[in-house]
Amino acid sequence: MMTLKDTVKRFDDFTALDGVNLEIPKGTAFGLLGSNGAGKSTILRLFSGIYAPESGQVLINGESVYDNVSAKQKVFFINDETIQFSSFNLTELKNFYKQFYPNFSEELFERLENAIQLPRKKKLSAFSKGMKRQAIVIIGIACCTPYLLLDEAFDGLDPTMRIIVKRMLVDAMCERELTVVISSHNLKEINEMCDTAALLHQGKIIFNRQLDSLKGTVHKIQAAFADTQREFTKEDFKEIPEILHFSRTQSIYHIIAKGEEADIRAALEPFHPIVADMIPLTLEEIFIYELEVLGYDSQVFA
Amino acid sequence: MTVRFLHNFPARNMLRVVWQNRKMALVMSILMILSGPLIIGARMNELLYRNSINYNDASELYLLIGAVCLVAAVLMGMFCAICSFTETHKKARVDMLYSLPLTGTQRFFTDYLGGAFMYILPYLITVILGWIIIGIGCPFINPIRDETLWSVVGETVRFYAMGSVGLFVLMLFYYTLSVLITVCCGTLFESICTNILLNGLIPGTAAAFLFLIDNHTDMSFDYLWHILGFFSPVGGLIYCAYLIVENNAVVPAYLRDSYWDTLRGQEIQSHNLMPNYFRWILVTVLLTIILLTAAWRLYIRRKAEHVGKPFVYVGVYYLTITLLIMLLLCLLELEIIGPVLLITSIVYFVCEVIRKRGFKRFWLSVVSYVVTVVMTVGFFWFTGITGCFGRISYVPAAANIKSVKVEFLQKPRMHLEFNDPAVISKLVEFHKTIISRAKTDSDGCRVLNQKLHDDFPYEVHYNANTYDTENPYYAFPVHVGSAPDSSQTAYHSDYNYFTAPFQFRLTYYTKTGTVIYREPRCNADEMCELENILRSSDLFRQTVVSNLNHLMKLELNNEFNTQYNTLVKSNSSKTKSNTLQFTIHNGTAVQTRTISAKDDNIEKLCNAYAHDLERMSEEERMTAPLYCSFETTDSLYKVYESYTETISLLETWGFHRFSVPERYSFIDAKNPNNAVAENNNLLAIRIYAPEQWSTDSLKYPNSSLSQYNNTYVKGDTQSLHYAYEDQIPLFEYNPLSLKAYYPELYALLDAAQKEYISEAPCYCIFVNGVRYIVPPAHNDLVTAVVSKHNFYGANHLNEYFEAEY
Repeated sequence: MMTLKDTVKRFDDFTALDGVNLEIPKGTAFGLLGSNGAGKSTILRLFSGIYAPESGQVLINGESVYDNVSAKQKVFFINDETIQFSSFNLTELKNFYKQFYPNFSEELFERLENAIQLPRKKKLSAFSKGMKRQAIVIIGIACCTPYLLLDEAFDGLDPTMRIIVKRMLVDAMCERELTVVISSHNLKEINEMCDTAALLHQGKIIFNRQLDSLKGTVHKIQAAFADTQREFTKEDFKEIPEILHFSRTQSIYHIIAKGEEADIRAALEPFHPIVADMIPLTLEEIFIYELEVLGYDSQVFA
Repeated sequence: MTVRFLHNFPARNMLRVVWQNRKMALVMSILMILSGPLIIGARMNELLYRNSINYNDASELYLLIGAVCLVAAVLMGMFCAICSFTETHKKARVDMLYSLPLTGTQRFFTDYLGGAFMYILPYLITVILGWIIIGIGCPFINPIRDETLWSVVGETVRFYAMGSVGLFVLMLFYYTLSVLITVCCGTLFESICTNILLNGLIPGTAAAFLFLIDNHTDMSFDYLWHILGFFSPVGGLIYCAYLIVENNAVVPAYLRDSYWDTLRGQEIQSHNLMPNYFRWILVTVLLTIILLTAAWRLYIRRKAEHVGKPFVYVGVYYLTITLLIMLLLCLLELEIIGPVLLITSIVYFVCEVIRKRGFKRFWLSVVSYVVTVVMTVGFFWFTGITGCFGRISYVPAAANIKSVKVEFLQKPRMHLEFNDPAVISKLVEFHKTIISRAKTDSDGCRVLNQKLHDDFPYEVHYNANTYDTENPYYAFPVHVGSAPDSSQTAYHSDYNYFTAPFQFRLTYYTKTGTVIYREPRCNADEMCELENILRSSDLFRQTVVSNLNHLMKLELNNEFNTQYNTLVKSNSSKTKSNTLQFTIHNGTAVQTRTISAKDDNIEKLCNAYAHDLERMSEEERMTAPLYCSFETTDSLYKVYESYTETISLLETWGFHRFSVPERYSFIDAKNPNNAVAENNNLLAIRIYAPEQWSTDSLKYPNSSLSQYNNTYVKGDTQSLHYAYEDQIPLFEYNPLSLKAYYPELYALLDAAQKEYISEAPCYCIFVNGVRYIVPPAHNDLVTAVVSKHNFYGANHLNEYFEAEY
């Protein structure tokens, strides 16, 4: 299990993580969502032992990560840049990582490499961005660490290669209960890959839930009421547990609310709805509406 | 922990550092590997052809190329450090390297050893190649005359072994310092600039500061490279260059006998070389360990996110900038405050703008500049008031001294090294005495001789603007208050006595191996005290006699005294002369006689001189008039009237006491030495009035003339002003005619002494630039000359005499 306990991370005057608590169980495909500068990459760098927290704890299987070889051997981190590998060719890069990760699997590497057919002798500086990404991903998987951290990992991959890489990751998860933590702005990918996700904003976790459960608890309601003369406001629906968004188009009301479907319907019943359609939200919509509540609103630019 | 460290330590990762920087490593390796064979090859070539007319001139070029390659390769150590620690300045490398399962310590030593391996390996190869060349070359060297093979190549082998180890240590020192600086910086620009600046500034500022002390105290830094070697790698490189020169091993002989000897300015002190070398090695290794520890600790404290900051540890920046300001202040010597502040502030603020990448919080830069300047000036001030932290007045205890070397910086350029504890004690006491005389007065200023200071009739106020508080010897002029004619600036009554014109060097070799150099100044009386101490030892007499003997024999044999020429000429037939052209002097008068060398005349002269030296009483030392002197380029041997045995021997060789016409033969206009008389047919005479007649309250002939001199000891007192002067036309070109035409002047010259000691004020007469002192008993002769020839100022003199007598 990967754990953050009351973790604070500052960069000079800027607080990147402000007392974050997070647990990522083993075998999970975990997605980190958030606005720019929310602290997603910081969390990944804390888990990979690059950063040391100012306070709190960063643990892997109960061990502190920073400057701890045994904990760091359980993690492989792929960041969003590839320039650092330019001076290697694929074989050199494999050999470089192999000496640090005792569980490195040559057989797995061969299998994965055969699947994507990258040139072995060519310098990575001559690779395209997507090819470099493929190279480091297959090395990361071949290191056979229990935890794999990917920061914008699918950036630069073509659609076919995305599928291949995702399959590789899924296979690894199935075969050896690999825990994958993915940070991405591409919510569709998170949606496809992850079973759990956390949303970060300004160094704090807004939510951390299983995606299925998350989707089940946020609803978009389109409703029309019998009393057409009355103009309903958000305050009229106090019984609804949490309203993220409220708007009206002519006589149709659009409500984004958190809570159980039955509870929401019960809360609407006193107002005699003529129509009350409950539409499931996409992850992207949840992301937008959650952040809108926190003032991170695309309308501010409009 | 060690086991765990080693277990996790990926040695191959070290090679990764080399592999990733292979282009630079290749260039450096080529330079390095070329250097050893070229330098050693040039040396072996010189040994092979040293007595052959087919000497290969290209050796010099090979040596130069080798030295340039070596220095370039050594200096590239800085880039090895920067390239090995890429994660300190390349953001892209941080994630890759910090996320590896390594501790900070493992990561640091991986990088450190990788860079060191890349840096040192080519050096080890070139050293081995050098040994191979020595091994191949040795069998072809032909010993000549009394040489053995080892005596020819031994010096080279010894140097090469010492130099190899020394340079190895130096390279590690330099590399480690570069690593430390790189760890403290967060960008490539700052890493390179700070490395270059600090490596230059540490020895540069230290040298400037030491020179400043050297210029203002009696501490000696002639052996600056000895000291600089301990300050920084570049200083160490200078020290290594010094070792090369000192050891006479690599530099071709024709170079070291001319250029290098001039550069060194003194004789080789090989007995001092080995302890210094090993001490330097030890100190450098210790410093390297300290720097490595500091770099390691700072590296593991530094955070990944610090990359990109100009300075992760801002202390290294402030150290650099403070050294820069200090260097500027040392060079400008704080004499011109306005320009000093302008220059230093411009330099400082430019550095601040670069560091901050703009002008944000610029007021902080202004504050830090003021603090830096105040701290630096404060450091200078503190150094001044503490007498260089007590080093100026420090004299080691006699019990801790193994030997003391005394060197006279003027003629005779004699150097004596005393091991006798009794003499060492006397010298230590003497040194302490002359230091204690440089006391601090109530105004916080130091004066050389308290007694003279107390006797000075004026109340002395040192002017802070003109008085150099760091230098007790230049405490003049002084402002005079509450004294007769207090509106004027006055000079002390005995300027030269007070300002101590004599300087000598004392070198203490302590039992612990340290060497302490001092160059005290002293006045003429103190010089006599020193000579009395020296004369009390057998070594002094033996050295004087030995040197005299050696010089005369060299002259007799017409031998070259440089090693190279001796070697070259060694096989040629040499005609040894059986006669010696022996010359004695008194002033400009010269007598030369041809002496047979067969009758052991040289031995006789040396023995007579030694006996006379032994017998000479202190009183005679102070008062005996000069009979004559023997002079060579570097030495001056005086024969006083009390040296009866020497004089007797000289007289048996046909020398005679110099007559007046002989002594003043230069007055003869036909004498080629007398350019003034020949060209202008004039004899220039200047007469200096005694000081006590010339205080301003009395009837000094011309109040604008200053007053100096009254105690003439056997030394070179100098005066800038004079009381009387005139030029006498020379109608006859025979010196004897002087007696006929100018009997008063002839009588005065006859009475005047080249050297004379007196407590009483004396006239001093300069004749065509040569100075003589008139004993007070002959003041009437001065009056007669001045009156008869109507010298300038003579009327005043007459008035004075009339009033006084």
